[in-house]
Amino acid sequence: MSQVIESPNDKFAIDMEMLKQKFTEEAHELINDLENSVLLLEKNADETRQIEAVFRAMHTLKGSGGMFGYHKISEFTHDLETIYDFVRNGDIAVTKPLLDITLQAVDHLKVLIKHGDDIDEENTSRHQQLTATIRVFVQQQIAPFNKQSVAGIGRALNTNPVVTWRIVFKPQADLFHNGSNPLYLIDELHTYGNAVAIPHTRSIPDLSAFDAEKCYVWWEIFIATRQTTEALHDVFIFVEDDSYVEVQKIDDGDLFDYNPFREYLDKIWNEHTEADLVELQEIVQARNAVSPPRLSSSVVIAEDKMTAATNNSAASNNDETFASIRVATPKIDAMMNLVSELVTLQARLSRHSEQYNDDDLTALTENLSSLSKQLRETAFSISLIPFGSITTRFQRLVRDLSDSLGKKITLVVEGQNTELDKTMVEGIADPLMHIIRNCIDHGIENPEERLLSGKSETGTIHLRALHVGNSIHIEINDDGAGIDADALMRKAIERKILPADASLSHQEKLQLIFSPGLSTAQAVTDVSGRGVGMDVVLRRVAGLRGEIQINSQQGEGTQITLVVPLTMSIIDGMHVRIGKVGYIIPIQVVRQIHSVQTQKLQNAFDNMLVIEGEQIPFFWLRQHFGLDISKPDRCEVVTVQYGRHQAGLVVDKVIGEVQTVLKPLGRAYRQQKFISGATVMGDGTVALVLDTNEIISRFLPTKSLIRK
Amino acid sequence: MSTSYNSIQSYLTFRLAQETFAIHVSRIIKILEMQKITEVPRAPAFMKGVINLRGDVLPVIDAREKFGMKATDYDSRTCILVLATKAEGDTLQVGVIVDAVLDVVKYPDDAIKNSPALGSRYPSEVVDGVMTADNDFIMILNVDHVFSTDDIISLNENMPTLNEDTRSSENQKQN
Repeated sequence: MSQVIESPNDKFAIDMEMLKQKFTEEAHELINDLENSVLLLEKNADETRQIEAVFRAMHTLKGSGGMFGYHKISEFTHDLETIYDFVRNGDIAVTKPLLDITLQAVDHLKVLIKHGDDIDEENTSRHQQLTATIRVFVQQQIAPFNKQSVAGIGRALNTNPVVTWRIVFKPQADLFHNGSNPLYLIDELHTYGNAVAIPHTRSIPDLSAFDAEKCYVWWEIFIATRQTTEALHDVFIFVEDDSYVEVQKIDDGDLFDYNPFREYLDKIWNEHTEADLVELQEIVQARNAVSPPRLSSSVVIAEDKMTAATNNSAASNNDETFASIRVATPKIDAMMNLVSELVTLQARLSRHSEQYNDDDLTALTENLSSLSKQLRETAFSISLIPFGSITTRFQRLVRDLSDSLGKKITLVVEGQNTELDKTMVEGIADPLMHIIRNCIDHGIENPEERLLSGKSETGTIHLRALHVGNSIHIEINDDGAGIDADALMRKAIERKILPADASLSHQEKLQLIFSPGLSTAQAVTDVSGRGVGMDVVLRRVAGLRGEIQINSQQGEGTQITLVVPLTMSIIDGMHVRIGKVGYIIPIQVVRQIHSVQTQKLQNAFDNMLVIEGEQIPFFWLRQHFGLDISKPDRCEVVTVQYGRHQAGLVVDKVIGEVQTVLKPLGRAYRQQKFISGATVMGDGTVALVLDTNEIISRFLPTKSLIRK
Repeated sequence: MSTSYNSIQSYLTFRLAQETFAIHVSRIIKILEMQKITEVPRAPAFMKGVINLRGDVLPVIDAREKFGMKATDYDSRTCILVLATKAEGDTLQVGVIVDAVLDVVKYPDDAIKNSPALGSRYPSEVVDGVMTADNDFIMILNVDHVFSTDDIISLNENMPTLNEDTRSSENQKQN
């Protein structure tokens, strides 16, 4: 029995947890948008719209924060919202101090969302300090107005005449699922002035069909208030996506003073009918009998507005609610898994049907094949997100860092809509951050230096993402000082990374920047200069199966291009065989394939092979994998890129190029780091994906550091 | 598992050499016939490799070798049990090769005895309990412990050698 009593509470707890999670997700998005808008504001872009966006984000955060128990958030945003309300009304100008405070507040909001109300001491003191700063700021800014009028907001309130409105509020049936209570909204309206809310209950079904979690009621609200249309709309701000809300002026005066109007309201209340606009119009006309009949035209306008509103809401529904839906990532992952399974099965079916000379079967498999290919592409495109989703943090980085270094830098982002895999987007964010940091710290010069060398005071960093075939190119170009290739080389010789007599081309010198333990920064700053720099970036990008190209002319700037595959989960590879097992070597590291006699390899000195005049060390994968190396008679050497060098991997046979879906090998084989994953081949067997960097660094005898 | 009231639990029993073992049915995801296993190089011998389980890659462990028993040839009764194990908060799937699957049996909780602390040849963390059936001991395995560690678990240190096991283990090691 106790279960029966407990379950509603349990359910409530779970629902609350889910709602909270939904709130934090939405809050993160809101804050992201907020940050973005603030940064745009700083560039004077689309000012009114951005201010409105900032205000709305604050307002929503305040409201829903309070609703889900994040009281600190709602407290905190309250003051910010006040500021932006003034900004929105044009009473406070957008200034740098304002934006600085806002950005600090944005950072703090991120902390608050992560930790909820129990924040640690450090954050608590920060919270208090920021709250105080904001209050002081408000006081300073608003002080001039206080002298003029009683209170800032009251001022706007008192000047408007009382107007009578009709509001139609039709919540969608699933309104309660978001935790909204429509009665609170109606209560809020009542605080604005005389109001009558008439509930319409006709669509409540029979008890048998009644669902207690659905909202069947809609309201007609008549209100006489000094508030503006916007203020009335703002009441419904949390539910506007889930409801039909229409605000319509019926008279430029307070109709509640007029008895026939109140009688009319009583009548529709008792008869449960909707207000008849024509009858309403007659009442208003009767009242304004002396004055010219304004309402006939105003009703026409109202009706126009109504259709417009209906159209608008339909259009905005199409744009916002239905143009995209929110799907949990695990669901997409599950779908991707099923689709790749289907594709694998499809490949097996095709192979099987080739054995029969049946035209119908062939036609059917071909149709199925093209369908599953399309399905795979569509499913794949679903899991992509735009590059623009990570660029806000770069804007922020450029802003904060250039400020603290006393430089003037603009970041221009192109290709925000270029889409790539979510894991890939997350994977490149850190390396990009590092590269952009380097651009700001070392690349772009001080304004004075720039002027001296005939450049404009403000440096520019171009960040561009574009599709090139099956990969994504991300270019970071700056017009800064460029890299001193000779200094790099001197340093490399100094640190014994290069022999003293080395002679390198310009490009090879630049490549030195990726060597571990080499940083050209003059002083160690918190930005860069600790010698963990581009080599880490290179390794991270290699981990994403990508590569980095670099080019730089001293005095003109630096171009860095990251080339990464569209996705982590699909891999283009060279299918090879060693013993009985199939292996995949990622195609982007494969350079050449040579067929050689096993005998010749066995006789080779120091496991070095001369290919096209170049000495290349090779690795007997058979030997490293514990197999007999005397077989087979002929084997093949696949040369792969390893940093700046090439190395050969000896395999039994190269089978061909394949495109397959990468699967993790799982925790059981976490010791086998040289296998980065596995993939199911067309015939249903499993092939292992080799991590060539790991193989070479692991099996490389320490003595033979690869040299040219 | 240690419930205070007496409920009836179902176990899948299987055979390894002469021993009978049991695993709670809630941990069994499916039972597969023996199939071709893709060997992963440089792994411990008991980790036989990976197989394709409906498009996913499943690691497979040889239970005999895991328990330090003699390896044998696989035959028509050899099966792969796909188990759900929990490790560090995650649920993982693992395939376990056993000699033969026997039965699904129901036992009330009070028929299950703790594995005797003294003189037991099984480490106590490996065995959740012991049941008796037809004068035979059936050991209930703790799958989380047995199949999520990388070490070989020596079940039969004190066991009489399994030389009555006629199947040869020599041609097991081949490429």
